[in-house]
Amino acid sequence: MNAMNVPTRKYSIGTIATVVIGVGGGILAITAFLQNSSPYGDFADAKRDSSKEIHVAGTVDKKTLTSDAKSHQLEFDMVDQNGVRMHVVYRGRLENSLAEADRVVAIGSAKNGVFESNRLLVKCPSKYNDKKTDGAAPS
Amino acid sequence: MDIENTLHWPAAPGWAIFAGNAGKTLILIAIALFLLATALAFDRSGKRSKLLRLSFLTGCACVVGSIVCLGSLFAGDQFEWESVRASSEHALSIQLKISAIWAHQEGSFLLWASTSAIFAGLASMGAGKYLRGFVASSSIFLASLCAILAYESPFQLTLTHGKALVPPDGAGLVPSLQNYWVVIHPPTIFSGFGSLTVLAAYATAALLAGDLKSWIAQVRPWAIVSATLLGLGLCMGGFWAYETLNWGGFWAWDPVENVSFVPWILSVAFVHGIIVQAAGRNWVRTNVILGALPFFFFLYGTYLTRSGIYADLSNHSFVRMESRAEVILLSATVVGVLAFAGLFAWRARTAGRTPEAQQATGVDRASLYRWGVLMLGFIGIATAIGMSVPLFELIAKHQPKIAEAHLYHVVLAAPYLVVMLLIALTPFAGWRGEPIKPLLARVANAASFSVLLTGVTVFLIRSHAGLDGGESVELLGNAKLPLVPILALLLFVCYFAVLANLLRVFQSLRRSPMSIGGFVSHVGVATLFAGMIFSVGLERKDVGDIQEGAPQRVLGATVAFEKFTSDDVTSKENQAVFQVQEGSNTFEAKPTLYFTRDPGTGEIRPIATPHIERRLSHDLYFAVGNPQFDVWPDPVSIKPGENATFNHVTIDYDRFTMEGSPGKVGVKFGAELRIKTDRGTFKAHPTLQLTDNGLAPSLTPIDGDLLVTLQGIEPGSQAGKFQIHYSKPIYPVELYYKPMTGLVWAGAGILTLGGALSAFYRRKGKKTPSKSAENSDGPEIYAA
Repeated sequence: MNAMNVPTRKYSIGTIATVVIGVGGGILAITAFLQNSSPYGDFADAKRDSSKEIHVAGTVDKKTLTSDAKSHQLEFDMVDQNGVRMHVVYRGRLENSLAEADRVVAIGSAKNGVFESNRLLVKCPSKYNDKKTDGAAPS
Repeated sequence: MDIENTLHWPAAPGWAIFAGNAGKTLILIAIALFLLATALAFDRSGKRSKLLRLSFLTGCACVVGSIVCLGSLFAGDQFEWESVRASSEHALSIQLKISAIWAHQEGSFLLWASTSAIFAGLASMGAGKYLRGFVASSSIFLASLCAILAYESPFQLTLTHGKALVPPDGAGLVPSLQNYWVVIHPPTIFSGFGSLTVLAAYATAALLAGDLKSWIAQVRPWAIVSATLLGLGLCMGGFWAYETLNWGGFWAWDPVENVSFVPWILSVAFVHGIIVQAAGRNWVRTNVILGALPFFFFLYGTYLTRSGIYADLSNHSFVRMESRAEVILLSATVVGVLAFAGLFAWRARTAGRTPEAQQATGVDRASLYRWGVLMLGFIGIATAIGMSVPLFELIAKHQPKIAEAHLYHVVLAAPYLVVMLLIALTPFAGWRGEPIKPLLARVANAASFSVLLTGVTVFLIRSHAGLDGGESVELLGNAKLPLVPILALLLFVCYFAVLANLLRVFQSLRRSPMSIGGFVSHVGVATLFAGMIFSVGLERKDVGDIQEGAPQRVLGATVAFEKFTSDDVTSKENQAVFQVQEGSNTFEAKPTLYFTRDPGTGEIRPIATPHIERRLSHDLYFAVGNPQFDVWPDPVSIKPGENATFNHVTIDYDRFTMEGSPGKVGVKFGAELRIKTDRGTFKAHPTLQLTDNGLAPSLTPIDGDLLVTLQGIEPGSQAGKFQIHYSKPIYPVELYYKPMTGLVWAGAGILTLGGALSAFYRRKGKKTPSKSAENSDGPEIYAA
């Protein structure tokens, strides 16, 4: 067919609205996710703005680890990626594998020189955690 | 490795070496055959179509043969193969040994390749005029997947002293995976992933053939199968997390879950796009894109989760792929997307040219479908954006961020509401446009009943779920909205969708009983979402620490530890029995709790699965955490005259004691201690006696709540190794109240049934209702 014979396509209001809402929605989604996602940072960031919850990844100084099962509290010193040390007080479900974890992500905020955490992501070197997502984890 | 022991290991049997080498070789042969098939597909004469088909199907058979070879190694306990040694052991049942194939990264890639090969092979047999394009695109993808397997190979032979010797046992399967879900969930969801190959290959073939119309009838049953398998797999994953893994919920918007969710929701969008095109409307170009999107998003998601980007950002530890395999996966994704986009730009304009469909006036079914597909696509792509946040930040060289579950709920709430309203309205809309009033009149009864049901629900929520109306939900920033009206709105759309589609089921049963699959699926989706809204929105949770003989109040119930069901706490059948008394009702919570030794670190770990007390109106979900035995996690060495403080307990070591002759059985070492706890200072004299069976420490009480043990004495300095324990272990428990959770599982079942009915109805491209649809009005014309 000769391209010259193709009738000029008229786009309906519905099509235009679809495109506008699709593009607009996509931009809104990107903005919402990027602006409201939880930031990762270090202890310096936590001290700068103690009003925001922040994720800090680092290593636990196991010699300082103390726990109190009855009050659901763990305390330990943690060293962030820049080598800055801070005392962490975690209140919540006691993590089974913290003692043998090589890396930890503490989620919380800095208050009075202490990092108060309400969630911990524990990364273990053992096969148990590594294998968890090797294809077989619930999806 | 102990060399002495390895000398006694038997040599690997010949069949096992053959099977492993055959599995590896079959992958290489498959690559060659897929490349040959690709080359033959470019022969336009059609003279070599038999050879094309033969090479492609043989390549697919080789991939399947490879996983059969791997299965034989797992079933035969051939631990000289690294993947078998790392994931299996003698003690596993045969089902779990086979399941161990996909418990590691290499095996899961082989499973994906196998399901892709099976679906592509089966679909190619009915590809007709699209055969060449279908085989070319499938072959390129399968060759890439096989190339990944050549580097990320499950067939790695471990040589001991230069020989293939069989170690006495393997490291075993992760305890949390040892249940029936690992047997059925991964094959189901990977079948869904494999089936996406068919959709993308058909879309590419349609572009290559320059015919974007007739492929729709051929791809339709495959699209329904894809959406059904992925939906079923997602539900199974939710079941697994909820029932077995102690997670306390079924969905967490984790990257692993999102990688499955995005292709599913996009495949559902495609199924609906097909309906519009099959009814004689346009959408020919849109559907080509919708056919390919689920596949490409799955490729992208796979790369995202296997490339190490999430290393620190998730509860899961993502194992990074072998670097060359990772490059192949990334290349396949990027080149595949670019090639498809290029092909689309080149062919879609002319191939997709169709006579202008008559523009409908007012509301018509196609426009409602368009909005539905748009919203489903938005949900899928927004989820993909959410899971890509770490990648965006990495590219921008910013500090990483992670989108948490709450953010997904806020972003996706609006499109969810629109989708549910469309699910209710669309089955009643005509293909020819009409004013909105007749459409609203058809759904008025369903809407009225939904309002009534919502009102009753809100009344029950206010009176029974302990809400006083002051609760709120957080939106973005610090904005908040009241909880009860939000819940009412979310539930209203679910009720409306369920009732409207039930009405359509009853109307269709008289005319075409087999066509009800789509409506049944909609009922399933709405039921499932209603269950999730109830279960998550009204969930209540409390924690407690239960010590034997010391019951505690948890979530308004009195919880007391009773006993273990087995004397052997390493038995996988062992259950911790708790009495739970809520008012006049009492039940026994029996979460499974046993201990296992990590072969990697030697640490003892507890493995727990929850107890779920199912009631008609709610579940009581009882999860037990890691029992706490020790106040001091490790023994601490103290010399006489010195002291040590840890976890609020101080030991002053006053004097060393000894009864009997050193080195002889019966000798008893001791330490006179003063121990300061929160309750005061107490004297204790723990001992350590040499018996015929070795050293036996005494369990010495301190203050009724704590014990001290002497676990070793250093002969020279007389330093003792002391440890403080709880006199009775503490069991941290979590109790959740989850209303109407049964609706989630009922909805999943109904959804699967609907999908199966639709796929059966649409088998072999059954005729579509296009003609009648174009010329009719009213609800009786609609096909599922």
